[in-house]
Amino acid sequence: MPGHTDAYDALAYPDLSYSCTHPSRLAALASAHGRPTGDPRTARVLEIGCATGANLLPMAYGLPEATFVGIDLSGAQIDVARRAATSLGLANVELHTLDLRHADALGTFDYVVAHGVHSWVPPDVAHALVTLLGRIVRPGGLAYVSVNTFPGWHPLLGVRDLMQFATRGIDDPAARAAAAREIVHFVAGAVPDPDHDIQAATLRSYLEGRATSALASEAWADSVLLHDELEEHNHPVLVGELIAEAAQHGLAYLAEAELADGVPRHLAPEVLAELERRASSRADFEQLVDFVVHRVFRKAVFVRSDEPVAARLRAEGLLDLHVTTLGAAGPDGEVLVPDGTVFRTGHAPTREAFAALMAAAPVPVAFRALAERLEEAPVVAGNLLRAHLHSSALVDLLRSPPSVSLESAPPLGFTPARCFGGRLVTNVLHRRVELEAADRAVLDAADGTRDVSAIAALTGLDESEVDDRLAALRYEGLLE
Amino acid sequence: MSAYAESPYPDMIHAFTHPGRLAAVASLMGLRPAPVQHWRVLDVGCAGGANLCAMAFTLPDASFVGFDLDPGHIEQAAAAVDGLGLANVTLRVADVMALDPAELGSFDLVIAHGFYSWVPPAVRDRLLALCGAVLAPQGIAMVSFNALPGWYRQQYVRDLMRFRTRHLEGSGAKVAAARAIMRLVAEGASPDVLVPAAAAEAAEPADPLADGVLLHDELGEINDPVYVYDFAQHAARHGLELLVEAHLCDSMTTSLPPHVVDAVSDLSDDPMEVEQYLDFVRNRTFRRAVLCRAGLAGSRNLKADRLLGLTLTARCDEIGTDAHGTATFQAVDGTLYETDHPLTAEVLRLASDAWPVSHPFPALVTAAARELGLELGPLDIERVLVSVVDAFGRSRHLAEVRADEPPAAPAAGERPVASPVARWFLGKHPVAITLTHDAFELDDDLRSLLPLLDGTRDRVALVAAGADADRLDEHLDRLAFFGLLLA
Repeated sequence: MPGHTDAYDALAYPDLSYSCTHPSRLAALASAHGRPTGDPRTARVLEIGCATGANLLPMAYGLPEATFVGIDLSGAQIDVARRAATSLGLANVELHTLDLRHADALGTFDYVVAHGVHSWVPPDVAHALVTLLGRIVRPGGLAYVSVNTFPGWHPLLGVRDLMQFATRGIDDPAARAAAAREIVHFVAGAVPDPDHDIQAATLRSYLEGRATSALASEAWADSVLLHDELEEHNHPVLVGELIAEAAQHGLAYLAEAELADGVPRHLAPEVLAELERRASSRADFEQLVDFVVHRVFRKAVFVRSDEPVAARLRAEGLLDLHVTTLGAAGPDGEVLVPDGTVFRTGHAPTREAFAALMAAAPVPVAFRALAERLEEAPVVAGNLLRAHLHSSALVDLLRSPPSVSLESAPPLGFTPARCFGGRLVTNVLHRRVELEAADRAVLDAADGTRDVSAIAALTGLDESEVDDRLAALRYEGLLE
Repeated sequence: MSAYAESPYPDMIHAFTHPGRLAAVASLMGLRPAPVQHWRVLDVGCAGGANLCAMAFTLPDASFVGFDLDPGHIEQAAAAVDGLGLANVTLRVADVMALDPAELGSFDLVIAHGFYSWVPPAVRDRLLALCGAVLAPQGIAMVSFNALPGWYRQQYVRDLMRFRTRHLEGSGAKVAAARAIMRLVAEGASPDVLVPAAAAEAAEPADPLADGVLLHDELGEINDPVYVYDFAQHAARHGLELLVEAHLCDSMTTSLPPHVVDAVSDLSDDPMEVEQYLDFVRNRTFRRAVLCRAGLAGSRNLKADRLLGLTLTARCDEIGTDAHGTATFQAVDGTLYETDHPLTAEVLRLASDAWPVSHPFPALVTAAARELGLELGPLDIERVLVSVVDAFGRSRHLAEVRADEPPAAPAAGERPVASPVARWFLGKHPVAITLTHDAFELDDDLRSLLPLLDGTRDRVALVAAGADADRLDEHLDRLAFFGLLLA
């Protein structure tokens, strides 16, 4: 597959992290399903397709007792990742330029993460990935696999085909990206009856959805576009077929890594019940749901199929977990979350729990400790779990709190965030945070040797603004 | 206009495959096809032969060869050929992969409908190689295929149905389960996705033949849609090029805003590339591609003067004339057409009055001029040619150009004779096949009358044989109007 290596050697995918791939969140997912897993703090973790390490290295930094292995086909990206690991002083990371078809030799793992791999490799390699997972996921282990899915991808393939058609024969990446954007805008504007045409609707929602990412006129957006839309290989799957294939290799589907993605909340209860009635298996049910919600993408988590899993989520699983929220208190006692979620409850102990979470944020709170202080703790646990099902930003669940402290003097910006450049950085909770240029400058200057006045001098900001921005960075979990 | 309720049954009669229609379109695109009355026609995948036999009956001096892989299909078709006494049809159980083109001779028309997208790549390639080998110098091939990007939408229906029925045995069970799941999903799907329309359509089809279509189209093993650009490149490898769509209106851009058409045309000098962008804009789902030998398609501009050698009929009504003399016509499919050219309007009136009979175009123009008391000048002739071709390009019902004169009688004679083809297939298919090569759904009155019309009975005898005396004339008029009477 030399062509494939070249594609990523020539143009790296932007450095992005994926919060739900963090072992501490995967472990929380298992807990909520009543299933014990290895302690993330001492686990063995593999990331397949780790690129420059933007996802792997911050996790390794936050879990120094765990062992991390990253592999990627692109030697150029592994080189970048190795340099980053060295500069972060990580002793718990191994990085290999390796084809996943030869990854058996790496041993077995408690957590295996393969984000953006399965759909973007030739079909035989995708099958090899599933086979590999069956061999290397340990008893009690979890595997995370993201896939592009049908039926949602059917109309998107039309967008991709259009872009590929309009850019064939163009070699220069920037020119390819520009031509691809141009043609989508043109065709979306040219469709005669966009309200009654699924392809037109797809083009429009594509343009809206991608406006801030792949269609932005920035260099990093080019590489998203070139890899996501124009990549030679893009093979979406029917999730039912993926689950059936995984079963042949001893793996069972547990849930979506983001539980909120798994539950079609807008469905009428009777439709949901009817889907459950018709489904002869979990694979069947998940597949039917995808047809109903027209799913485009899944972040599927698998467990070994010989290990028991509770059929329903169990609120008592929260007792082993740490809880936090990105929400802030609204004027009328509601919780306002940046993703647009507004949460209200008449249940006083639940309100009290949220108040405690917001006061501690960004530090997660051990639910067991919280439960001891609250009335009707089991009800609170149920409410928090339901809130988590709604939005992981409203209630975020982690098995273990980060092992970095969240404050020091002089201020120290979260080292992995300083190590990887760009506007989108990863915080101590392994969430992405988008920074303004001045925040980025303060973060970079806060290297643990400079006090506020030194940072002000270096960035050209006045001290009070540096103070404000440091407070904001702390709240965003970007100081350690 | 409820009598016009046309019910096209794609599984059975394919109006657009008739040589009289395809020759006309090819001719307007600049080809010089041989006289259609003497064509040699090859249908690969002729199924039960209804389409082939109906065409053969209306063109007795042309010869037709039908192949199918399925012996049951060929047996069914052979029974029709025998029953209708057709001497111009040859049938054979044959695999396209095993055919020797040299042995087949040359053909003016090769029909491969519902074939290309439904067979493995090797067979697809063999089909185009066959077309490349057997087409006469001015011959054409009609090759239909499922087109992208539009087919992606259909793929949803197909994936869901195949997923639901993957463990089921028996076509009845499969069809029932497939429809039930579509119904459920149509109810449950997110309102912001436009799937329900396709799902609802598949769940509750209006078409009684739809079970067969569903089994073949949605549940069939192979269904490979392609982009027209890739199809054209494939055709080019076999010395063929895309001339036009079988339905001329599918090749026209009149339904798109002019600035969009201009902008698309500016995207490339390569006409196939422009076709491809138009398919992206229109989200085309299906194509009925007419192929010719490479180098003949030229500029793909319509040559209106070719009308002078063709025939015309119409199924439209004049719905008004404004103060400035602009006449508005409405075709049975709802398409509107305005003209302020009196000669064009009169030609459309005459053509419509003559339906289902097609008349040579020059005769219609002469008659129209006589009607208007007009001295025909060259400008008038040029104008009427361009206008009628324009109307044809909007809807074949506004103005239908043909290369033949279908043997449909304008009215019932003394001893009415219904089309033997319609009578033969009456009990076997839910629709009647007309002499214009269309399909009409008949009500019970007409269905019971049709078998009696064998030319032996006058009206008294018809009533004696059970026809409704009070409504016999009305029924006969309707049968004549539908193009179901030979005499």
